[in-house]
Amino acid sequence: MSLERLASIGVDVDEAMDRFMNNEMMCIKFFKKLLNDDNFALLQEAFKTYDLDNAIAYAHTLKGVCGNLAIKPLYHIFDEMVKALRDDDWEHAKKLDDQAKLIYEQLITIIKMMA
Amino acid sequence: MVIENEGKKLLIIDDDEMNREILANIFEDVYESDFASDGEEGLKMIVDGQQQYCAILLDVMMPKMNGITVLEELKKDEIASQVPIFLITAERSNDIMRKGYELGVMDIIEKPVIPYVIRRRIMSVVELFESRKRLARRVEYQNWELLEKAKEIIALNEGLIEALATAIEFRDGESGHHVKRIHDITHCLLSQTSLGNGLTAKEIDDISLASIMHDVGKIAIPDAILCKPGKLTAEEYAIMKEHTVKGAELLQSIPVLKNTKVYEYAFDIARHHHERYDGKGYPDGLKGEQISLWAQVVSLADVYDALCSKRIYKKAFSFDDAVRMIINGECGIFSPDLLKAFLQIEPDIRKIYDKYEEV
Repeated sequence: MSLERLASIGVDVDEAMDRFMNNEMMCIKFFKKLLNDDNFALLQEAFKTYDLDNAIAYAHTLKGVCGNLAIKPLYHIFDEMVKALRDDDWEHAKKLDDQAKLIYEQLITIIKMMA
Repeated sequence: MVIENEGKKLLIIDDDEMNREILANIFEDVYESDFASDGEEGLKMIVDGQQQYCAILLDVMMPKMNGITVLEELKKDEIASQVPIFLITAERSNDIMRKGYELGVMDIIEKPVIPYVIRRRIMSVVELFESRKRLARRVEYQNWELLEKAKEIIALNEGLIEALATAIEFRDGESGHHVKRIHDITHCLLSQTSLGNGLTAKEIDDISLASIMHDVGKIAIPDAILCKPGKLTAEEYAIMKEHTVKGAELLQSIPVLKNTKVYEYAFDIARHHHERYDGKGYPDGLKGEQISLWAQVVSLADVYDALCSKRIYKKAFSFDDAVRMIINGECGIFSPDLLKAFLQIEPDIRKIYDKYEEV
């Protein structure tokens, strides 16, 4: 499997590999883990139920994951989302979540194809 | 730079598995890692002290106990001064940074981490802590060495003083135990009775050491007089009495000795251990409390020991006879307080004679 495909949705593959000290196996392992990661689903649930505390917690976790894996577009979205939620700007957060959904779906599709 | 890293361990406290693995992987070639997946678990691992960590990498947002609470707990035990703690956080808020530094963290490192940056920042601080510890151990060892040397020097000094005094005792045919007994009797009277009230243990030690030198002036007395078995003529006795003044002069002429506390006592004792409480002693005819306590004590110790020992011109008296003669004023006049203290402790003084058996 190659990480190159991930670059098409804005993953900085070099940065991700640097962070894993060029341990490709380890890097791939954590990308694959996203297939079973339920944080994004839980975030959607929190949006539906207007659960601000949980929304912040899941957005924060996703921001961390995307930061580590250098999934740049999602990282910036979740970073902004955490700020918006902390400012109680629910509307803006929701807009960001809509953007996130599109990219996240593509990301999952690519990872599935990599397997 | 060669760094000795064997056995050095990091503690990584983070609720996210990927974060823990990334950090451990970054340091894999230099440090081993232990993990905790929340603040509570991490705190327990630090506080129980089973493992000494070279650094603690602490996440901020965690379930159960967050990183800031962990820091607050650690602050109570002042652990941050012994182990460098790093906050690894995605929170760039001023609040958290200020709080972290206030609570003693060494550095705050942003997530996502950049390996060469975090390596440099953490390894430099770990090395700094290690060298500080090495330095502290070194200073501690050197202090211990100095203390040992000082003890040696003190022992040597005391040995030399005793050697000098013993050499002089040998000249007039005594065994050399006389000075040791004077030392012990003086120490006993000052430390075991109310006579020594107001003196520190160190002062009593110094006075006892000084007592050894009470007769150093005898070195200036010719053999013909010092070792004469028969009674001294008036002229010979006048010369013999000079050993007090000569002794003080001798001590005065030793520059190294003059800077010590022992010297002040030794000078006084050498010059005045033949003064009498009624003012009829020599060389200065001091009376009553004009004579220092230590000169009085050594004077009594000297008389008692002379009575209880065999001398070239006399046989040894029994302890009971010696006490009686002293009480009756047959061997000099002493202060009532001194005599009272002496009588009270005299049974113990007899034991000193078991220690130094006459050859």
